[in-house]
Amino acid sequence: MIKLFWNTHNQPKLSENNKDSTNYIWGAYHKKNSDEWIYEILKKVKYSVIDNEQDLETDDILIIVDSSIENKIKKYNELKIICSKIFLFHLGDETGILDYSPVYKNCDYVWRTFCSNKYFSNEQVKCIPIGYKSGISSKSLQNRKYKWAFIGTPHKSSRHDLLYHFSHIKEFYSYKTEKFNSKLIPVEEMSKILSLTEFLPCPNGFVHPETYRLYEALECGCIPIVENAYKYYERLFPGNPFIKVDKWIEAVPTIKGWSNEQISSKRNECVNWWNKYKNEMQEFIKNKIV
Amino acid sequence: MNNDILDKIDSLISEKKIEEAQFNLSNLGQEFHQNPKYLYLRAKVFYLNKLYYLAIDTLLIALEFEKNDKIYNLISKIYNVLGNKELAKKISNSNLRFESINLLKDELTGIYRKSD
Repeated sequence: MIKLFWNTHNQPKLSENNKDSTNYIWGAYHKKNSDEWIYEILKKVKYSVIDNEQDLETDDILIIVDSSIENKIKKYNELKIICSKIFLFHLGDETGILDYSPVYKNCDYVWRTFCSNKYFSNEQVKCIPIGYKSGISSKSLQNRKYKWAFIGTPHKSSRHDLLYHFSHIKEFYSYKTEKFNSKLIPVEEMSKILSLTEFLPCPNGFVHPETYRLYEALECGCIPIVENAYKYYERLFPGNPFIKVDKWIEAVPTIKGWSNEQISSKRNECVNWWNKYKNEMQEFIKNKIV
Repeated sequence: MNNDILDKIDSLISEKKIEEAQFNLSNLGQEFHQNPKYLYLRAKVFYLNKLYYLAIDTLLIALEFEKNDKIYNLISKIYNVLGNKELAKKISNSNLRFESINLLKDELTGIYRKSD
């Protein structure tokens, strides 16, 4: 039997010597914000959800969604004894600096977010997009009144430059937060804003190029504009239709000058590409597991 | 010793052997991470590879360790390339650069700043 166990929010107990709650916070964050995305990419696989590992029986096939796995090596060694196969969805890990081989070696296949050089061509590990935040969906509103939108923390020079060049292109929506995951716009409101926006700049994240914003743009029918640093998105999604820039000023003529037909054509290209990509990923996952 | 390695990397950049310079830089350890010359060279390689924002972020950190004309001038040059002529001009002006950079750093979050 195929069983799915979401384990990101289950972290080893804190000891007196180790009171760092970071892994707890991130584990709960992934459970809250990534469940819709993970369930969507798994939708072609039939499984039952279990709430704890006691519900596993000998020879079950386990799909486990997890984070901070560097602290769970013993658990994976035990799971390997019980389960006939283990498929891991490894969330988080923006830096990619730790050695996960003690856990990965117990898994038949691993899907992980935040790609890096060692995972672009790996026979046992495949990178998946970090996806959109749970609750984000297109609102199918008629007129997109915002040419562009920025929602996030204006950290580092890229976002500062983006706002410098785009702020005179009207109409736009801008909401700046002081820090990550602080004073957020509710996802329902966020969905409405994105569904009213034509172009969505998706600047690189604080540590890694990928952020939720790209996938939220694609879900809501915005045209994503991404940074071309290290050609990350070309390597992750060869042949993708995103607009790519080395500097934000390059996108200004597009946002200001494209006709409605050009925008509509690009939007359709992006939406079709994203739906096809998701469908192929769902098939790939099904064929690996089943 | 540290300066010998950095001088060698500087020469590689001047000879346009960028990949070799990048390889040498990436092999240097943590002891260089607060060295303004190392940060300047990293930024120069970023700039030559069109990684403009990484270059600026790195130079802003370098200025925390040393206020150096070379660093200010490269930031100014990059802002010119990025199309922010006004900021480029202010940073190229030795009377305005200190204040301009401080204002810029106040507007950004996420750039390392020494607490002193």
